Amino acid sequence: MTATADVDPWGRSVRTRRLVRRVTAPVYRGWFRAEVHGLDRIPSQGGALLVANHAGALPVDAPLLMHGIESATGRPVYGLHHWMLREAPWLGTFLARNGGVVANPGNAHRLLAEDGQLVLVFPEGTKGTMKSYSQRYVLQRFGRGGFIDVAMRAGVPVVPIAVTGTEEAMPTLFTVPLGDQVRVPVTVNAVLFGPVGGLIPFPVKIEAHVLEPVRFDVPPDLETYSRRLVADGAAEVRARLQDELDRLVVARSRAVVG
Amino acid sequence: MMRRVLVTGASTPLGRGVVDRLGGRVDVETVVGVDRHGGVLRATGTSGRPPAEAGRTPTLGELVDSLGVDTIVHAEMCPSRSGAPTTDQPDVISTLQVAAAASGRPGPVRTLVAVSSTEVYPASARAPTWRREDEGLRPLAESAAALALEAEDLLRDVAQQQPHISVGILRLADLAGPAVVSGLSSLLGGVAVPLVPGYDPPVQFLHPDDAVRAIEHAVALELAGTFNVAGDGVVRWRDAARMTGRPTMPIIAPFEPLNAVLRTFRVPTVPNALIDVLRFGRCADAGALASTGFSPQHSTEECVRAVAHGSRARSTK
Repeated sequence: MTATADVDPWGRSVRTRRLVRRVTAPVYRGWFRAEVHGLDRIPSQGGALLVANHAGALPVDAPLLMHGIESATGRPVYGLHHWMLREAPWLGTFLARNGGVVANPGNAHRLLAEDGQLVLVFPEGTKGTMKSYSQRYVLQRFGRGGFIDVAMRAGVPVVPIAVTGTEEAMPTLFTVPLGDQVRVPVTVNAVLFGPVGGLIPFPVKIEAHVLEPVRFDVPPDLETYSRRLVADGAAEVRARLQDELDRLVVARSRAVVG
Repeated sequence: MMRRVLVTGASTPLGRGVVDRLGGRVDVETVVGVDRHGGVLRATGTSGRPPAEAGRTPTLGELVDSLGVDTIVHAEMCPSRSGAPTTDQPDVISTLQVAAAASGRPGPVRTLVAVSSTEVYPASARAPTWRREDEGLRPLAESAAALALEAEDLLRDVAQQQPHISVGILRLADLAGPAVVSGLSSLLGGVAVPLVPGYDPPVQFLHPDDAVRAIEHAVALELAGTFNVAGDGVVRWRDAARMTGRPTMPIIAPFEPLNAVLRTFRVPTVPNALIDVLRFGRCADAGALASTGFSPQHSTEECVRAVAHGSRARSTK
């Protein structure tokens, strides 16, 4: 067969993942002392939509969660990301090889319902990563709740995951607009270590807590789901995640050292 | 009931294949192939002769009426696959003629099967990886995709206005085989295979034999609706290039104005629509057609190997 025959139709490569996990492991353990609690709440088979809070100008939550869950469960994790990342040469391909998939309902549904995969999504999107440090652990708007619609349609549970430490890894002071679309975050890291050194996140302890899966009492594959159901579902997931974040942040004895 | 079939685009390799294939069916009495200009190219088992009025070739509608055609296969619609818009819009015009032949007063036509292409799904970073027939499509102005979609809409109008006609539209993936190459697959058969640095998208091909089989399937079952047709699986563009054994050539500046200048000097260029395919890929979900009982015999990978083999055979002749 050909050299990249291990690449699946989504662009994920088992071999690349294995290599990247090997490189990530010491960072995961040594730099971030990362831990994922409640891994047994992640379904051992079938599709599930993993929903987490998003933080940090360069969000380390995605790669760390994917690493932690893949290493512990042996199941691949696909991460939904903004389409603009796919447009970037090399970066888009790199993300795809590591399980990155452009976030849209079609892709999410196919991954969950037809392929039965674990899919990680950050419903806050860039609103989570671009918020300032004063907004730390305050969940931003959950898009339009589309992820709930996708989970209902696919008939899969939503598994909320509360992540702490990521807000302190790369705190954003303020953002500078660059044109109409893009805002550039000015981070503490960049102020202290310059534009290149600023790409390195602080070695804070990062913990993730997997919450009880949320299942929706609706049949899958309906033509439409009522806006009320979707909105309520999104609000419930968001509230559970926010409550857990509030509890965890207070409970952390030494916030970043651990 | 014995069927009488009219096939447009009979001068193209696809149309020829359809005429031959349908001509071999026991439930088909007559197959008439017409070319772009309405000339009758191939007729098997014709009982009635097409009206040969002096001075002009009959319109499609006249042919349909005089021969009692109950099934039209519009195989000419398949766009040029260059990705670039053409000014004479042959696909739309020929489709207009087919729509005219099928509609109007109640005629003999019961089944219409038309060939479209997955080109109606413009490649982009935002689009779903797997394109489905029910995707809301907003075509770009002045593109081959827009023309193909316009042609499809003409036929959907026929389906709406003439409920007794079942209209099936087949969106064929890029054809790739030993002889027939088009658009994307033709890029695999040149001196070097172009690729855009930093991208390695999944692409999909359809073997011409499977295209003909799919059309026959749609005719036999009188399929109504829109269906993607593609070979199983996907191939990464770089892998496809590797399989051809040809060198690769990076595309640096995908600018259409520059391309236009190059084309005037007969330098081969890759049109913008195809460059987006080389960046983001184009894969159609053929599940809907599969659920009607059709499965292609050649995978996407086999199609690529067929192109590689075919072009090598030609170059050593």
